Amino acid sequence: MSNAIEIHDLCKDYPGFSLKNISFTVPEGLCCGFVGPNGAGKTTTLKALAGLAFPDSGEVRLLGKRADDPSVREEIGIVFEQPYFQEDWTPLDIEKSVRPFYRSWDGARYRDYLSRFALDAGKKVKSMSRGMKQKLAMAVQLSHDTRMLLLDEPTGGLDPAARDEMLDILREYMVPENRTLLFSTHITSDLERIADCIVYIRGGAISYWGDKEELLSSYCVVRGGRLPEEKRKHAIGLRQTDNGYECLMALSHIGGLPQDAVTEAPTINDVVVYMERNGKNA
Amino acid sequence: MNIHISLQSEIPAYEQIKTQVKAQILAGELEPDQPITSMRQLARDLRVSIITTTRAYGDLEAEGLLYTVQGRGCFVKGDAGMVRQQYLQSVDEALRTAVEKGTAAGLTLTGLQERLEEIFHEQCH
Repeated sequence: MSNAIEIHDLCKDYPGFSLKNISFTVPEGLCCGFVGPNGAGKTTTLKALAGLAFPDSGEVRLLGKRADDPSVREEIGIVFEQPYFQEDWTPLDIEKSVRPFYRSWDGARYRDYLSRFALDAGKKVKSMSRGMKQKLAMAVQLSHDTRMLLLDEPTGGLDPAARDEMLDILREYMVPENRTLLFSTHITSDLERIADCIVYIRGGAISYWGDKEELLSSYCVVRGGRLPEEKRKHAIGLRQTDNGYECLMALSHIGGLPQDAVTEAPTINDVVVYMERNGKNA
Repeated sequence: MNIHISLQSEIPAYEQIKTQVKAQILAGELEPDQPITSMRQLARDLRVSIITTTRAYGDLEAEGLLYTVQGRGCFVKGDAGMVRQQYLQSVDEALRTAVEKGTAAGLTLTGLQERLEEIFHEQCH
């Protein structure tokens, strides 16, 4: 399997923030979830992938080509959290403005998506809700042939039903072979069922990247009465009260815990929450 | 195919998919060379990750029940019937052993049947 996304040692300095040696790959045909706290560098990394931010050093390759190769643009759909449409435009105006950029633009498909998403083709962007704008941006990217979608918080600001609908749209996108999806999200529960792999970024550096199941199966959530002193160094994001403790622990360290300890498989949310808490405790 | 998975189950999703597809092939509900839902389509339908269905189908392929044709999809293997025969043979063998050991321990046919029913209900709910 070849890689749809390859990032090697990407560095980018901004005042007060920097991306430090970001490296990860996403195999072609898979869905990758991009997680991390606010300001960790998700959007900046996505911008570098989209060719909207120029790295100070390092290499970014998409679909086997350099990210700044113009021929790669056509094959990639990009949606950022704040869609940059003119407020006075309607979906029809938007079509007129973007159509010239995509050789594979399919007007019939665009109108199909508009009606599926219940978007009025003559309604101005400024009178649309956030969810509607999000769906409109998706409709534009789904109306030309792409092999990869890069999405920044596609489920952000959507109510539970709209989020579910958006995830279904993404699943549908992934049905044809060799399509790849990378999307960032704060709502890690979105990823439990859709993501094949996870990229976890903290403070401008990659904390984990790889198979989702592997990540989940290498940790467990532990709860118990009293944590023995010698186990404390292995406790991630330890939370202690008068009535007991809970923490995340690498599976390799749970041997030797007192009898009363209960362990259970973590969700992605657990992993992220405990690791963030650990970062703050440190 | 008719597949439904439980997300609360202790059994991983790929294992549940594998068991159900296998049961339908061995029961003859899916005909040899019949195309079945592609891995990616099934991932979408069941709302699981692509790796999950890929793993289930990969195991079934390794067991000789499925085959894939690049670009055309996934099919039930023509000799899936043979695999079914093998299963039936091993069922007979296991039953012979059960009868042998049961009679040695003084069980009658009714006694054996009762134990079989009990175990069957235990394992198949």
